[in-house]
Amino acid sequence: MKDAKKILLALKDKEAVEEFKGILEKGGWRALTAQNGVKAMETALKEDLALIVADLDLPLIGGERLFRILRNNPHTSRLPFLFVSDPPALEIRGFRPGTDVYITRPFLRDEVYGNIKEILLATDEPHDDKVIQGRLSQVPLVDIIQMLHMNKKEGVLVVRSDRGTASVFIKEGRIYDAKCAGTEKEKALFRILTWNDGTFEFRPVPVAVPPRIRGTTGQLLMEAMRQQDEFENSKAAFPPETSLLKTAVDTSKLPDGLKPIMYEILSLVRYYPRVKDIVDRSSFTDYETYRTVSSLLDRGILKEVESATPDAEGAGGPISPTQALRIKEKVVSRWSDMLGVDFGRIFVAASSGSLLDELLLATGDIPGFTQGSPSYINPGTEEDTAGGKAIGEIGTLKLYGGMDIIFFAVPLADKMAPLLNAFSSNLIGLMLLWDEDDEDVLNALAAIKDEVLSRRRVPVVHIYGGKEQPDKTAAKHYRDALKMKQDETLFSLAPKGSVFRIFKSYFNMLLKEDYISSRVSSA
Amino acid sequence: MNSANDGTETARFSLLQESDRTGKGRFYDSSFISEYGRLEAVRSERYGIPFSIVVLHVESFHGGKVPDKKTLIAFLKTLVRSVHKVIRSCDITGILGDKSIIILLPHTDYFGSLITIKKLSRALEFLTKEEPHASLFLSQATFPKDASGFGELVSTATARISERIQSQWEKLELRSKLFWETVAVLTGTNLDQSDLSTFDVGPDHDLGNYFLQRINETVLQEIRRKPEKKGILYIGAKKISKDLPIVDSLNSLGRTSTKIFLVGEGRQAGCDVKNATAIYLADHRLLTTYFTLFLSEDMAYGLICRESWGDAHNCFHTSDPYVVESLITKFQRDYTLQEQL
Repeated sequence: MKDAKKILLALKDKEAVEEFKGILEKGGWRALTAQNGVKAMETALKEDLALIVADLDLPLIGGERLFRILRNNPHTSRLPFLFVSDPPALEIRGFRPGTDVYITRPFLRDEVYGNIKEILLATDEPHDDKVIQGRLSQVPLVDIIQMLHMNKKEGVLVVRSDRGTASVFIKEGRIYDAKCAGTEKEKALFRILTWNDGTFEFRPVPVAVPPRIRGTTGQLLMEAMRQQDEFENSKAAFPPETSLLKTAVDTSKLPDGLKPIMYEILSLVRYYPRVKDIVDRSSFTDYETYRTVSSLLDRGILKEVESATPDAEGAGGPISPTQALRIKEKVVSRWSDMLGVDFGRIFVAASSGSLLDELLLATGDIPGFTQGSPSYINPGTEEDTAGGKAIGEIGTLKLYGGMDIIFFAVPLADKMAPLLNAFSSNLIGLMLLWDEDDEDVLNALAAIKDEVLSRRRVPVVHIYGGKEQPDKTAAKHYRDALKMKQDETLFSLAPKGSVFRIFKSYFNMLLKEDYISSRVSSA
Repeated sequence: MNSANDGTETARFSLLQESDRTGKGRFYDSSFISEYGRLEAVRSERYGIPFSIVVLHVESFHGGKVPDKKTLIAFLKTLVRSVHKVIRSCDITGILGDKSIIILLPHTDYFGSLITIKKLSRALEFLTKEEPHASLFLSQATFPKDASGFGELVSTATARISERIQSQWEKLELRSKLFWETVAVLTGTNLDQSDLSTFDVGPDHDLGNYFLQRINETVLQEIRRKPEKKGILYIGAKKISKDLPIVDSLNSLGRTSTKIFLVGEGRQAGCDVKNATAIYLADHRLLTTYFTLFLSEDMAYGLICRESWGDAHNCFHTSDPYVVESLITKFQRDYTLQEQL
């Protein structure tokens, strides 16, 4: 068993592990085990595995999430998965038919054995072929592709340059697909073909992807060269990539039957005003996108709002435009209705109305922030000072790319869970704000935190609003009362200007962690 | 989805087994449904058109006993006929498990599936009242709102059935009660659940009466944020007058896809309410009750507050779409208003 292939059994059920161990012994493979997703991930990164057999509902990190994490890691991206679940079979995003296998219980031992054997055979790299590699400055990419085409090769051409890493999938000399920094198909291929520096490496491995690029290799290369030449000739007439655009007409009144690229660009402009973002996100090639944007500008359908320089773009705000777009994409990806998501909501629970006002006053300095209607509590009434009883929108922070962050006050009162649930669509955060050492207040804040986190995983910001920062004993007391984790920061509204740091930290948390679960657990 | 009677021999029955005898082609089997549903999800994603499923669950029969084979097959045949009378020719009906039937509704959004449930409930009501007195539950799920794939969609709908069976709504036997009877039970019971709870508002309580006004403003804010989303909102304002803050807010709301109704006691007054339909009802109970019932594609919130002592109110609120939809339906039926969603 010294050289036996290692197969990780990431199964929660001990009986299933034993059953699979029996199957693996029959094939002469070595079984490693992990009872939860975290352990499975550790093992996958540490060991040289040939396959992972994973339960879809693994504890801590589910099977699907584990799959996505390992797929995004270059060391494990090609590791095949055999998913096991109870019926009905679920769809797995990124599932690679031909590489990965999905089986539902109950299953036959022989069938599983056959599946494992097939997977391992398919992923075995042939040892008779050698990897071809070199520098693009010495051999242009067009020549490499032509050579692979002439020799009817099969494999993946990996290209690395300072602009990123890209892959071209070739089978029998034909280009099947290409991927490059979030783009794919012809768009990615044409982009890669403009790269003049960097390295390439051809890996002769079986290609399991379906053909997604139409046309012969010759036609594709000719068209890529034509578009490259046209782009160079027309570059001066195209808008700069930092230009900000907006639609100048009511797009619903445009005639039917326009080219699909026009509809796509008009739809993208609604969400991504910067030319570079439109070009990156359009499914059409860079040249076609630039040409259409330019044509829409000439016809007055689009207009240039302003041209932002990279240095000036992020000035003043707590996050850069790129971060703002990443936040938007992250929020959008968590909810299915892309067009319906142009805002994210942060619940704000404060121990008093005056503290809420203080936060709003401090937040007012942040560019893009507008305070909501001042009537969120009845001015001059008992409620005005009763504190913490505000409900609804109290302010909005506009982010680059057309995303609003809404600050939504929730009342500090018993039995408010239905209210929190009802208004938690697009929830992306929770802010807890207090300024007194009152057990009831801290308990109420902790209850809100528990309720929100039981439904959605969102970053929680804990802000002490006292005039001075809390001392060590008080800080420990607050941390305990609010069940703060060790890596969570206890912020303070003092000194002046701290709110900027709080927002920056919150957005970083939102971007770093896998926050925001998509759905309320079916209530 | 375990029935309370699953442990006993007598309670076991299988629609799956008996469906073979209802005539070929009436209900598709689960593998066909699974494949068709998967394709429908792909089609829906490709063309950006929602589709929904409805799950009809037969929880038990009268007294927890299973009728004899003959009665069971006759029941199933009646069920098939009744379901097929209601659904469209493009809808697909199949067996989901021993106790459940699934109906695939292509090109149907959330509200469309709720309307199908309403029709099915009405068409199947007699099965719950006549022999063998079946206990039926219906739930829905919509793609892509509730799931990213067909399997998840089915899981969501079946989970909702389980929740419904265990819900306070069933425990308090509110299904057959009238609107005001339901309100009396809900505001008079001490409930503390994440989707259904009772509380008091007023001068001596955590929340003042401003809460009731703010809730309506907040719901209108939600509608204003997503004016294209379908929804239905009933606001019970005791007495409609042009001085009500909600009237001002409604007048400045603008066009939305939400149907808004402002309900008040008395005869029609000369009060002009824009963007909403004013409903005047001669019922004194409205004079002591505030309510907000909002159901949209994205959220559900229901709040009903009845006057208690002085200026205080006993309230209950819910975020359960089923409860909100049921309250709206009861209100419409009891006052013979046009039944709509």
